[in-house]
Amino acid sequence: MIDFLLSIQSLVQTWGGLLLRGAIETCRLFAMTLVLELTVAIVMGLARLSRITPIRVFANIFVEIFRGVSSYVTLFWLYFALPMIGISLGALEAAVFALALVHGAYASEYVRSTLLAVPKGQIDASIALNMTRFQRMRYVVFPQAIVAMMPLFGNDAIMLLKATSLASLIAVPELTEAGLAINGTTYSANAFAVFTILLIVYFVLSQAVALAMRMIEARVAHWKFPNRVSPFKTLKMLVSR
Amino acid sequence: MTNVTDNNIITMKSVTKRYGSLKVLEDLTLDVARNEHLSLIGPSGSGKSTILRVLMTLEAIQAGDVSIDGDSLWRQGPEGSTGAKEADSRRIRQKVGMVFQSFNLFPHMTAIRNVAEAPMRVLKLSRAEAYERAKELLKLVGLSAREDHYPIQLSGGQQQRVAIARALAMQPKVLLFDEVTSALDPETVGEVLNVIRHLAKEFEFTILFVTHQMGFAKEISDRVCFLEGGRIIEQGTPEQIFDNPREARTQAFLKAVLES
Amino acid sequence: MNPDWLSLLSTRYFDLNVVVEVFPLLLKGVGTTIWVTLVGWGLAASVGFPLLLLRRSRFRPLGWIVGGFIEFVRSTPILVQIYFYFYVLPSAGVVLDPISTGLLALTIHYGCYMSEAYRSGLEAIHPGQWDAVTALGFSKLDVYRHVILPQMVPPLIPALGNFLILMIKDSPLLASIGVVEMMYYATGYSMDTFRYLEPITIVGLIFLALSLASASAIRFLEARVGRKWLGREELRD
Repeated sequence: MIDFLLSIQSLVQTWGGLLLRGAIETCRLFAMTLVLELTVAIVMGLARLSRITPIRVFANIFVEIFRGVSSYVTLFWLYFALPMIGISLGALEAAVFALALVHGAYASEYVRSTLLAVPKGQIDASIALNMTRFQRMRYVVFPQAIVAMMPLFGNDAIMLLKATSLASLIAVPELTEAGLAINGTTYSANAFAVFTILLIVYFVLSQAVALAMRMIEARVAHWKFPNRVSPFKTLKMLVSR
Repeated sequence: MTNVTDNNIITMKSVTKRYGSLKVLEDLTLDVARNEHLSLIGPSGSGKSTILRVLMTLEAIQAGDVSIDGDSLWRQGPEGSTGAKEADSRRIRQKVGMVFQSFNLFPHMTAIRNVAEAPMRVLKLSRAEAYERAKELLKLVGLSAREDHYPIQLSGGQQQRVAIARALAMQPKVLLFDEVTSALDPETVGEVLNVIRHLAKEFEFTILFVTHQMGFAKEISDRVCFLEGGRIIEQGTPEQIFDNPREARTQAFLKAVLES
Repeated sequence: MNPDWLSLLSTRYFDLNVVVEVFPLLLKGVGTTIWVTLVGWGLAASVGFPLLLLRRSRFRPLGWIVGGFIEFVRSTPILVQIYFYFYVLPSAGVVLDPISTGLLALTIHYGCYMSEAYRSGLEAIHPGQWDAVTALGFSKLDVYRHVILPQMVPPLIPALGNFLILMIKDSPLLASIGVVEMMYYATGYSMDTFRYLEPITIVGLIFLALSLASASAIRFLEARVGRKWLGREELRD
């Protein structure tokens, strides 16, 4: 046990910098992919509800394809196959696009189903008040749908974080790649320590994302629980006394 | 295209509406005069709510003519009825306001925002003007103290009163009340009826009232229509309908209602 | 097979001749892909049970530890877990071939997901059932066989089915530790011939086909099992 802890300590000392850079790169990758993914999800989700048939059909095909092929295949396709028809993507770009497209396709279903789940009476009321379709969506339907979307997006965000490890397969210098590099250089002498550190870091990041998502969920649903006091407020109250 | 406006603010001629194979409105003809208070009574499925929904442009019809305040909403053609174009529809819709049985308040907005939102976005009022108007209306329905409350914090009766204020905020000429007390606890029914009574007596609105509250209908209506199976069976003054119904089906219905 | 005809239909980018060449190779790999996925899925589904029982053990601290372990496994990427087993086990004296290592990773990772699915299935059963069962004096085994499982299993089928589809999609990860499956052949071919577009596209299409086939199989199973076990034509929910 002591040996294990000592080996972790020496590992961190020598390779800490590399691991840290890897972790930061993972976070960057995650953030960029998340933003793009949400965009794809919302655009495709709305498209699947469109009254214009070609748009709807295109969106459904898009979603079926990217849900059916894995992130792995999409990643390789974007990075290795696209250059063959002239579009050359960097490793980071390929990773971001691949993950965003695949997860966005899955998430578009969350957007679509939560929008449909808003009670019909809300639409009746908005029409009665003479709102345009756009106003109905923006001020009435979407704000209500988003409350149900958040938990679903939250789960997806954690899966996305884990999926960023796939980028190591095309040599994006993120956390898993850093671990593999260290492992290769030390000839697997400290394999246990290296990969345990990797797992722990991912675990911590997962929990951080989960916590952030829970806070966002609570904020977005504030009108459902107007009497709930946030933990910060309780803390402030206790401290000020 | 507007016709010369006569004294009728609403005209419906030979209106037929189907849901699949089910006929909800059958060759219905009904005119409503300006500032008239009309109650629609009848068993469930008789088409009373459908009439309101058609007037509120929430439903389409297959045959007949409908016009509101001189504007044609549905015009009978050789192959069925065609609806007005979007721009015309919106102009007509502006003149009609509706209060629903299930309130349909926007749960993610406070009471005052519920009332102010449409005037701001649709009528293009400034935020200050819209909220000013909302405050006045909430005062009118007796809910000034609850401006900043969310619907989830309000009782059924309070929510319905906010819904009435919200409909009034668009300054309609016609008010449609669709069984607005049916979903309320008996204790709160009174507060909502009081507001409606006040509106009927103190202001000039054309009111269509679908209800099971016969006493109230008798009190505030100028005319009562009894419907069944998508047709008007009998209509007349409240005294004629409630005290001296001519048709057998009217009598049967009233007897059944009074017994419950 | 007329090569000229194929060349006619090809474009500069997408050579049908290549497709014809690479397809048999890929088919060799598909067998491994399907085999590994099914075995992994079966093992994971089995491992889920003991994990669930441990999690709900009477001895509370054990339940927490196992719960923490499950949460840990679910929160970390499967790829890292695969590498973990691949690189760490040999130094502990356990030498496994790539397929076994891959199966180990898949089993543990998805076993944890399955046990959580079982747990929510179990907790969804109305508490009143347990009371009724105690009152009627069933033996523990009978309880599970005749009352609990028939209610638990039908809603679980879609969940288990989804896991199968996810596992199909994760199988190419095993190529990076040397498992000779479809993607392995595809990338090998590509590196030799510098033709990347065709093999990967075909692989993508095969995955698409596998996904759709599995999805239909699962829907079929849902309908049949739901009917038989619960005596209803349609599954509720």
